[in-house]
Amino acid sequence: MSTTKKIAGAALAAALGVTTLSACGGGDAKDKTAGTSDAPKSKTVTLVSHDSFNVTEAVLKEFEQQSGYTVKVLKSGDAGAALNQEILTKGSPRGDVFFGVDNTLLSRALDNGIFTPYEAKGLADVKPEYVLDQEHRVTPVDSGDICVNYDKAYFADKKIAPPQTLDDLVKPEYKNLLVVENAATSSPGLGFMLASVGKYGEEGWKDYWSKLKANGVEVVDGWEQAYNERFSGSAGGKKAKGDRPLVVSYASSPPVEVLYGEPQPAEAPTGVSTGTCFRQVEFAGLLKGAKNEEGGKALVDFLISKKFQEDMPLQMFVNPVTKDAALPELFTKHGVVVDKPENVTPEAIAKNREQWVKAWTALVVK
Amino acid sequence: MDRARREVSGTKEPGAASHDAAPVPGPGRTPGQGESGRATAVRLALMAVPLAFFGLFFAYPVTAIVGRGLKTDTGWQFDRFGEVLARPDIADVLWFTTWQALASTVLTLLIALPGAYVFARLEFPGKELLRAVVTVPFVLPTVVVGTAFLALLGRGGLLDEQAGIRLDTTVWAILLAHVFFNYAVIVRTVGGLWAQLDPRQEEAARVLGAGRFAAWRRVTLPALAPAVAAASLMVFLFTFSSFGVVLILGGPAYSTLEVEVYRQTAQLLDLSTAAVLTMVQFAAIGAILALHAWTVRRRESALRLVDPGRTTHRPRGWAQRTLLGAVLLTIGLLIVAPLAVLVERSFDTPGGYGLGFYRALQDAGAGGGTFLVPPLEAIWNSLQYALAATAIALVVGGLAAAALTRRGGRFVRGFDAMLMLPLGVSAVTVGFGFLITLDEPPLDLRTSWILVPLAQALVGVPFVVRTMLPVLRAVDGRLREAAAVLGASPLRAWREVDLPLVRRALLIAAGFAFAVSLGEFGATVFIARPDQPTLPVAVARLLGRAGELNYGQAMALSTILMLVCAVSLLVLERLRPDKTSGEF
Amino acid sequence: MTLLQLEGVSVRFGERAVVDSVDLAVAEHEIVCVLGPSGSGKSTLLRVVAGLQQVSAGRVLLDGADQAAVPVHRRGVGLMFQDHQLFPHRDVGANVSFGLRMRGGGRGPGRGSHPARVAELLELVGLPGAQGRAVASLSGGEQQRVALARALAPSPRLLMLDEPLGQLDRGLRERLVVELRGLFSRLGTTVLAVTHDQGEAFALADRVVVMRDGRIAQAGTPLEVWQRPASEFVARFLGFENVVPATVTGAAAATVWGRVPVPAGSPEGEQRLLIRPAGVVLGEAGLRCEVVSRTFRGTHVALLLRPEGGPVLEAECGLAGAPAVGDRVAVAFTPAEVVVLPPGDR
Repeated sequence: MSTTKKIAGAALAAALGVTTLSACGGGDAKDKTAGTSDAPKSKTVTLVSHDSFNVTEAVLKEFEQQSGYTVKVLKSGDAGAALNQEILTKGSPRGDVFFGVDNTLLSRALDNGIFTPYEAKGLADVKPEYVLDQEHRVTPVDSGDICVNYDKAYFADKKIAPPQTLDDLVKPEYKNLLVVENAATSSPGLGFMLASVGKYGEEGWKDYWSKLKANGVEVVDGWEQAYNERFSGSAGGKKAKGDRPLVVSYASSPPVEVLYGEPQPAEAPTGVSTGTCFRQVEFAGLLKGAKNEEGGKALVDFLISKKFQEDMPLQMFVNPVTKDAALPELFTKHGVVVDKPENVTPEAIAKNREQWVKAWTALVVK
Repeated sequence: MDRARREVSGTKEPGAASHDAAPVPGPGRTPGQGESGRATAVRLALMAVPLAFFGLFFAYPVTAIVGRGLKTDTGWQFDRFGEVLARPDIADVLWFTTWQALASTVLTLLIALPGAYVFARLEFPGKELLRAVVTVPFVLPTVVVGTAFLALLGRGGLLDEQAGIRLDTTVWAILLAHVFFNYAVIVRTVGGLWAQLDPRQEEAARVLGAGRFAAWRRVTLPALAPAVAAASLMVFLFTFSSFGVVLILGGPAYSTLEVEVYRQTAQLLDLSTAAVLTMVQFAAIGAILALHAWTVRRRESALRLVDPGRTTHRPRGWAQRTLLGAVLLTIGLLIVAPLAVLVERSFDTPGGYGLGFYRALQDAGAGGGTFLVPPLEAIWNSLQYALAATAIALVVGGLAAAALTRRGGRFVRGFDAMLMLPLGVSAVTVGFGFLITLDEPPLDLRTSWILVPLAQALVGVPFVVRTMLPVLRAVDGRLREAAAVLGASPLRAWREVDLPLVRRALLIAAGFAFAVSLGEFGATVFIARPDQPTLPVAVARLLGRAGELNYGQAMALSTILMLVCAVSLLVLERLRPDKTSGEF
Repeated sequence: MTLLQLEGVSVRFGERAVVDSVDLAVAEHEIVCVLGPSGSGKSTLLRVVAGLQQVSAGRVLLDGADQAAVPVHRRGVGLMFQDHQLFPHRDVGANVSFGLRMRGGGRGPGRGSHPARVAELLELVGLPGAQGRAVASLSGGEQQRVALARALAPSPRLLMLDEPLGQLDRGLRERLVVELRGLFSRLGTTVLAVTHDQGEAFALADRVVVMRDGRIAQAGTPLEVWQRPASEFVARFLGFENVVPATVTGAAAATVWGRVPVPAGSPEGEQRLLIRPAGVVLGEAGLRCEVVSRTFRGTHVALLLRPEGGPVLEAECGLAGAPAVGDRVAVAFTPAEVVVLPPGDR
């Protein structure tokens, strides 16, 4: 491999001579990030994550000032793609810390051994139910619930109570009202399927979906289509004349609807069926072969610091995992507390995921 | 022997038609004896950069990722092929992928060829603008297009309200969306050549007694054939590897190879299945390219090209006026209407029509989060990436086209085909391939911004080659000879003769490459990059969140993306210099 | 002083020799015309000299220097293409100045456009002030003139013309030939032209080279070639049809047309005989013929006669007293207009 790369490297000299020459018009702004490898390496710490990672700049700045590190954030694709890229580059990672592996993918990450164990400072503050890996290869950072959302206006109009549980959804009064995402390609789709597995067990969940199907569940490919096109409670859905008042989304969606309402409504236009939820927990871990291990450790500590945990809800619309982190008013006022999310262990998910998805596809899509 | 005879007949005698275009050997070429050493050397030198580019940024990464999937400690696992291909669901995917691509290509040709004629030959107000408009779909992210198309074809859409027909989750929606996306490919590739065909040839056929259609079929169509074939091939490759359109408009019941490769790679990390599917994709594309080469090889001929400005005229007679009307109507319904829906939604704020969402975009950066970027910054990022990608694609594609201008043996045709392969390979395959290959100095580009334009250029190069090659090959070789005799070195002759003649094609190619990278989403998203969101990435982020403001801003940003694209294309078309000045 | 020298030049396309062991020399300031029918290899010869065509054998020397390793653009020769090959994307002025720019190397705006020289050349070819015109707007004759001006502009040491007047109507052609000849002798240009039109060649050239199937059939001054065609091929190519087999004995030859007097010193035995039409004289006695057709040729009348025996005979007579079609006439032959050709070569 290495000799090939050297030959390739020599050949690149010729090719790149042209490409960089032609490309230099494109790039001064970007060079500051590309060129950081020249700086003393201990000064830069790199976080690799998926596209949804966000943090308030001021919060990040504060960490940089306190720790003396410069943080570089690399985003690459959705959660699955980002993790798989880390697995492929195992041993020669692109960064020092990876954030964004959730409980549905945790076993794959751990089995592939991409993380170095590190017990983060402040782990004691994290709610123990989220600490799924006792070797501390990963540290929980946030949690979020995938739940059915409902269009409040629709149910008020029809004078029907919105459904609250998975059992409710197969009732005749909710016929032809629910739109869900493809479990094969969409993360909330998978989460909702897993909720049914958690609730009805490995035997019973298929029956439940047969009933759901008989009750007119619609499947679309992704969250964007489901929520923005088909769901009658969203802005996009209203414009697109979406006619499904029930959609699989997140427990945090109603607060987001308020935050990004124009103007902000006094009350969220959508609600959450709290008995239909699957809880996603996202973890971060120190990458094996990290160039800046010390910096990486500091970064993991930062991710469960109070500052970051309290910043997170309004940046990524997830819940903190630490006990002392206060939720913003938006969440306390418009959000819901999901007491009893359905649960499936990472091990069981890893073992059965593909087979479940196939069975689900055969049952619901075809 | 055959070639020798043809070239002998090419040495002109007065009895021969003065402008017939029998191929004549280029400088330094010995007919009937293959290429001279010098010509081969020149060709190889021209090919060096494209070969290195494709080797490093395509062949090597893709081979590596396929190898990772199929090779274990015990050797290659070729039995995986049997296992994967025997699965009925995979067979379904293969069948659907193929037939929808074929159907989409045929439909696009049928709908867009009249458009190509109208844009090439007729003069009408707003033509330049409309030409840019039909190209806009090409650069829009599929998420946005899906939204627009659903508004037209889906529940409560225009068609539903007017005729009670819903086409979403049917194959028709997929096919029509493919036409929407690829209309410009036909109009630009075929129309570019059509505009430069000498109309007098068709007139000559008419004088000789051919009817209007017969003259078109016997004179113009054969001359256009290479461009039509090239454009059809591109449309086929695009639709064969269709991803977003199939997901959004077809619903989960339809799946293409590309979708499967993405799932297996990005989600399941089942690299061996992905490798098998990638190989199948390769085989299919290889077969298509071979078919294409076979049909085109003997049909390209030197054409008499004229200044496109002289071939256009105002529509004459009812037939041309009807045609113009029909084309404008088609464009209106199929392309402008979906785009108009986006624009309409970007202004449709809860308090009535207004600029609310655009104003919100302006405040976006102020919140301090890294989620939203000020739209100006996203535009700037997009333009930077697109410019870099266009420059790379023009250099690589231009050199490749120059090397391919003179037809050659199997090796040369293979090179030609190789340039097309990236169109049929998933961005995720390439992106993941980059990860495991470009990871050691001096090639550790995994976290460099240049990787994004490099990946985008992979898709841009085939456009440049396909657009330029028919025109380059149509340039009469004796013009180069005339320049050579007048003292121009081969390079200078290329610059003085070929380049001005193909400048229009070059601009079209540049426009395409630019537009493709401007709207490129797959590679931009999969390739790890420092956080410099482009417009499509920003749109996708906004659409990925609940909330009225986010949705409205996504529409507003999509509208801006459309505008940026249309303006860029218009500027490119305007770059054409004054025709009478001999200099450039 | 020999400017161009071809030594045993051959060009083969596969099995076929398009140019076959051609030796040819062109002296400085000389105008040489290669004359031949389609496919005789004459255009290929020009391409060889220009370097556009590689030779299979032989050498091309310019000013005594072998040109094998010299690429086209450094040979310093001019070539005016048969169909002009004007650059369609440039105007007349830019076409004419092209070669000047290539040699001068000027690149920047304004530089290398050589307005004075362009104006002078356009004046020379009779298109003053045409600089700004688009190439596509030119008539065939005008294109030809521009092509000539373009070829002349860099003052090539050797100017080659491929069917220079091929596309022009007769009147224009005849006038231009005279103009060209005057122009070339004034400029002292060395010219190698190819044409299929013997009238053009004879009017233009100091020396004529007749080619057939890639070989030189005859070379000489126009007068020599005209008067003494070296073979029946050359004779027929020059337009002479009165060729018959003959047995020469002494001062006369026996033919199907009867006894024909031959010039003194002609080779004896089985030969072929050319009688130029001017040598077929109407008279009271001789071979009896019927007039098949007659054509006015301005200064004389061309007659086609059917003799009692043998093939038809071409003759010329004065305008006055020309017989009518159907008339019966008798003809005699003048030895000065009779040429004995080598036998067997057709």
